[in-house]
Amino acid sequence: MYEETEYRSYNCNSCILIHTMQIQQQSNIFLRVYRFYGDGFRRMTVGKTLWKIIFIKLIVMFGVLKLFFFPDFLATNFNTDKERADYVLNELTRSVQQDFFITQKNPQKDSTKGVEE
Amino acid sequence: MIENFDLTMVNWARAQFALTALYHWIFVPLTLGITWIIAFYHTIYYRTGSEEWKNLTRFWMTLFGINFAIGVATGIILEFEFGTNWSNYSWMVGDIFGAPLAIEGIFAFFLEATFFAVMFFGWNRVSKKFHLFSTWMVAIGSNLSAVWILVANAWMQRPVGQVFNPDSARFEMNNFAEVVFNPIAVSKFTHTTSSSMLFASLFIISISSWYLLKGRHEKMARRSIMVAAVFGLVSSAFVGFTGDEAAYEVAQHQPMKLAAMEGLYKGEEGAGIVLMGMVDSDKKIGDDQDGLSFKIKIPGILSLLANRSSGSFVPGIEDLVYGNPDHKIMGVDDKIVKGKIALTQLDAYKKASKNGDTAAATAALTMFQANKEYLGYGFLTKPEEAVPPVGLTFNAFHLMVALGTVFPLVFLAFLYFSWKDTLKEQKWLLKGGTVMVFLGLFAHWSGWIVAEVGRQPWAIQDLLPVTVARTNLTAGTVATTFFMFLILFTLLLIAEVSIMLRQINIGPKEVSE
Ligand code: HEM
Repeated sequence: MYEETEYRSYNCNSCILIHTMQIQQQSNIFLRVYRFYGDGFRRMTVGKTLWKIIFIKLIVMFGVLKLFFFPDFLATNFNTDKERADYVLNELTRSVQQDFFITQKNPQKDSTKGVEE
Repeated sequence: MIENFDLTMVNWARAQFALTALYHWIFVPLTLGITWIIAFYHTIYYRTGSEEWKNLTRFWMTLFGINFAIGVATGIILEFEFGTNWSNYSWMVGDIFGAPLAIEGIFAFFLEATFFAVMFFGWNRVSKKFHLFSTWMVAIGSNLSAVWILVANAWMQRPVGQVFNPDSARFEMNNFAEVVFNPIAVSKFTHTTSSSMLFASLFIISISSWYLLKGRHEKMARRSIMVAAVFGLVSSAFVGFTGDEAAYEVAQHQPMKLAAMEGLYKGEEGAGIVLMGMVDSDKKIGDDQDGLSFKIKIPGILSLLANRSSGSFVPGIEDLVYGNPDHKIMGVDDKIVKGKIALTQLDAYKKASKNGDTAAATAALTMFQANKEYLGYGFLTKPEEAVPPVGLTFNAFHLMVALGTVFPLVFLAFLYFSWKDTLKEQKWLLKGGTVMVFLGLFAHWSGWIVAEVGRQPWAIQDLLPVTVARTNLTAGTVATTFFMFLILFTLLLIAEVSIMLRQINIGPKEVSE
């Protein structure tokens, strides 16, 4: 890594040089991060088995379960949000459309019949 | 209405959700809790520089890593289920939770990609300070990533900060702060995180007890126990405090759930809390039976906990079902009437809007708004349908609280004998210690059973019953995927347990990341 002190020690006025150094510094950071992860993964012992399990799990979940068994019902059966909203509204009001409401054993319910009409 | 739906499908979908949620909840509390304890172990290593504390920290980190890897993404399955089995519900709440849950997912990804990596790979490769900082960030971040899902769950218990849009059939958020600072969300988050810390302490105590019984890694085991017992004791106090807060919120906003938790059918002033009891399975709502075939009660305490006043009235199931004018409690029958008005007016509004009849649409909307808080009751056919399964709720609540009382005693015993330096001689305690992790899990599962079964028949309290929240699918479809999940999760659990057992068998020194 290029520490800031090192960088100043050039004490140079050339913009080009500074620019080159900045690029170098950046690429070194990326390189270091890359090496950090790379070495970390390489040195793993238990971790290797765990990563295999993670990948198999994700493939089963997204490649099999989601794809074949868990379609998003509203997303796959309707094209627009308007259609979806209408469908759900219809589901909500299905009972009153079918006149389930007129099961008036309870006299209190009679008072609401007017509202329905 | 309810008999109009295919109840078998709903029950399969419920069973599937319960199965996946309970399996998922094996991995989550351990992740939430153990990251804090690891951060403490790491801090001790940072301060002492002792290699033993370093090995100890790395060992528990490895077990955490196994749990995390096996558990990661198991929660996504719940989201699959929302879209497939509970599409009406998903649509209706999409506006409130879609974006925050997505943000949470992205946040969790970046957290895991950065701080998790530094925590596991950072030994001798980054500065000690930054390494420790990363470990703490993992603890903080993991717990923060549970916020939104718990806020969502709290919203289902008490749907605040929303307005129902009759055109889009969606609940839309109109007050972000009310949703986030919903008191139920606060108690849920604090209760969940503190009980997860408690669970992680039990996990460490169980494994360390086993080492002591086997005479292996004794120094590490004793040190682990010391920190875990202190941690467990402190978190037990938080669990009790936040549990009390949770019960208070339930009493205020879900009185039916509270009545079921306590098997209280007939309301009382100065109501007692059931210390021990058994639900009478022959009890029918409205008959003369008490509801509990045997009970030991402490008078006044339930009133005190529910209303912060020992003489106050706590409504029973029958007061809530049939109404109690003396205490200004509206019966479910009346709520059903109002709910049906709301539904009828929603339908009228829909038709009037379609026909371009603005006056009729406005009138219907006004009427709908006046009754919308009872919307869900419009789907019920008889008042008794508003009662959750009492036996399950009661037993789960009492098991959770009983265990919540035993755990601090266990931590105290471990601390006492650690302090006396005679822990190894206490075989009875060590043997008991090895099963504590399972009891902790039962306490967690019981907690979720109380929260979710106790809320039935509602998906969203008072607004949407589960029978309407679901998708119109056949029972067979859901039953098939139920068994697929059962197999998948069982395999994952076997993988977790076997990899963990192998690692425990290797012990701390040989462990690498
Ligand atoms: C010590 C006494 C305890 C009390 C008074 C208590 C109280 C409660 C209450 C009232 C709920 C339901 C909240 C709702 O429906 O919204 C709940 C849920 C829960 N409890 Fe407890 N609890 C106690 C101990 C424990 C223990 C020991 C654990 C686990 C180690 C635990 C874990 C949970 C979990 C995971 C939930 C579900 C999440 C939630 O709703 O907060 N509780 N508890």
